[in-house]
Amino acid sequence: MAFQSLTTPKSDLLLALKNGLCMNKWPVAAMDTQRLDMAKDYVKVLQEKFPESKRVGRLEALLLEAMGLWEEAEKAYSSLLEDNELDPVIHKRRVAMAKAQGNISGAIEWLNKYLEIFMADHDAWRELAEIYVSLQMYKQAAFCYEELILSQPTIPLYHLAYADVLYTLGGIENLHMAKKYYASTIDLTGGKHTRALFGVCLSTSAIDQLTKGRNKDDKENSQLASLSATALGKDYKQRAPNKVSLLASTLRSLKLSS
Amino acid sequence: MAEDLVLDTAIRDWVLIPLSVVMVLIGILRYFVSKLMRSSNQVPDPKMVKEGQVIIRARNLRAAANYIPAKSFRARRVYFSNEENGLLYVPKGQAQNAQAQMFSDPNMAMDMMKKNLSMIIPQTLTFAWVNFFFSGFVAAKIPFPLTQRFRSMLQNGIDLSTVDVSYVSSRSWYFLNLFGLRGLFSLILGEENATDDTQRMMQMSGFGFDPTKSLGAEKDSLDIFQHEWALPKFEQRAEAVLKKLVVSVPTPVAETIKTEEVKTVVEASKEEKVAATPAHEVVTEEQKQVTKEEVAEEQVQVTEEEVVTEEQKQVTEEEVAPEVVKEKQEEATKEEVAAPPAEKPAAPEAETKELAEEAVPEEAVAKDETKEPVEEKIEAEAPKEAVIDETKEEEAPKFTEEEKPAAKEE
Repeated sequence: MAFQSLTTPKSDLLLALKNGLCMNKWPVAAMDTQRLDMAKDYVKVLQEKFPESKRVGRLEALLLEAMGLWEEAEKAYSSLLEDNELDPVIHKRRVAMAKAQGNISGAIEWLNKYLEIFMADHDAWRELAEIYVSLQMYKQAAFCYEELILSQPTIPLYHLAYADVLYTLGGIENLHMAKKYYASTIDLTGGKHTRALFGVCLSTSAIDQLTKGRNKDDKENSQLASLSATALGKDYKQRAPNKVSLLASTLRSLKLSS
Repeated sequence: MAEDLVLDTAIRDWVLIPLSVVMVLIGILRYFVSKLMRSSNQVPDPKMVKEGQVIIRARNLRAAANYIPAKSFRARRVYFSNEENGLLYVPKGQAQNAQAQMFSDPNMAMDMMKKNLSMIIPQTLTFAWVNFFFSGFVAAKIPFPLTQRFRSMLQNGIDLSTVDVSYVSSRSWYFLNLFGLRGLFSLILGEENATDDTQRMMQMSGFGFDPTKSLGAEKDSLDIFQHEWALPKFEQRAEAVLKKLVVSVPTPVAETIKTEEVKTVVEASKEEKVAATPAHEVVTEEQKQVTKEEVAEEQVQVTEEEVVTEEQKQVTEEEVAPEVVKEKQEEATKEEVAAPPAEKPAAPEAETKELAEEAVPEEAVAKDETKEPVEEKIEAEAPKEAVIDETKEEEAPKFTEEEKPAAKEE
């Protein structure tokens, strides 16, 4: 869609817009590709056609945002919100604006307020989790990832991210949990996810390091680690044979340190 | 009394099909009309939206609660059903208020009226049309028998009391379509369509305030829920997956090679006391099934090799393990192996399968260390015993030898 709008001559497009085709997508596409002049034209055409429309109002505000005029955009969004307090798109645009301006804490604030109302929106939870991770607020990020796992438990990506966060948090409990979540990722992806395999090895060695003195449970933990090591070896042999030695030495150092 | 009435195919062409088509068309028409009428005042009430979202979130929590750690689940549960400021907690006074408010608010009332009307009028009209045009004859036969009670409901136009109740009039076909076309509509028109009469009828008939009731219901079900952390199971499943991935690599080139692999796997696992048993059990199972089809030569080879391993294993046992443990293990093996020879009269091949099956679920349960080598021995011995007596005779003197020291100790 975006490429089409860029290559066909301008007059045709304006005519098409006047007849109401794809009114939302072309201006957005133009803005995505930074053709702000074209976007302005589109929006003007739409404004003439639909003077009091909410959607056109949103597009205008989007245009202001794309042009970098933050205050005007903010004003436009607030006025739109007065008309319709519960438009999720506008709320999200506000968050995006805050993020684009570098005001991450403001973004977090807006996003939290949004999530208080729309708490079943998993995209928003994901965004919040990523923001927290970027700010190294791992406990909150863990909470967000739990929400994600709750809403969509069969997506291995969330398990993996949660395991990463737990591993980063550290501490014996969290490491055990991280290992379990890496294992569940392996299960969900049929054993082929390299990162999860590495995660299992690393968390096992970290746990061993921490419990060096105790020697309590020798249950079956070694299986998982050795199995994933073997699987990793196989995988590397198939896909990157010149790195097999690197892998072998890494794994050996992990085991040695435990 | 079940005479077979032959129904004219013209009935099918001119009654059943047109009736269904008409109902589908009316449904579509209603959908568009309701869309048009709905347009303007659709400012969603923030409270309603929030409650809807809360319900969805609570439902997700219940559905997938086993995937998050127990602590987080409990924290969330408290958050939801806390007495004072929990999300799902609705004091009774509020419920009443909301209901009264719903009726007194003119906009809401108008909306409800409109929705009801758009539902009721087409239904009534269609029903009247059906009654007028399509009454007085048998329209269809229901494939299952019914009792006499249904006669008045299903056979209103037919005034013969001797006709089997399975033969129904077109009114029942209308009702059948009414409830059955819901699925079709959700396919054609997407999810939210106004033709979901039956649902709304069930909801609105009691005139309950929906969000409040469902909040209360959610809270109750959340309170009842027992959290069972599923992640440890996942660890085992991951192991199983990886094992399958790792073990499946050595593709069977020749039988002898396979048996050697089995041997090495058995020995290696025994040394470390790590249960690679499922892996090699899988392999041995396959091997067993294959050997069943193979010639006796093959099996002799196998048994010879396994006899060797058996002896080797016992030797290593005596060397490595301490005395007491060794005695226990040998006792255990004696018991276990004594059981299979007792079963020998049964078909030996069936026996191998049984043992294999026994061993596999056993593996799934938490293992003792003593059990592991025993299981391996069973596996190792099963194909052996399937064929040859000589091994049994070899074993027998060994047993007696071991029995004696055990008896002496006791």
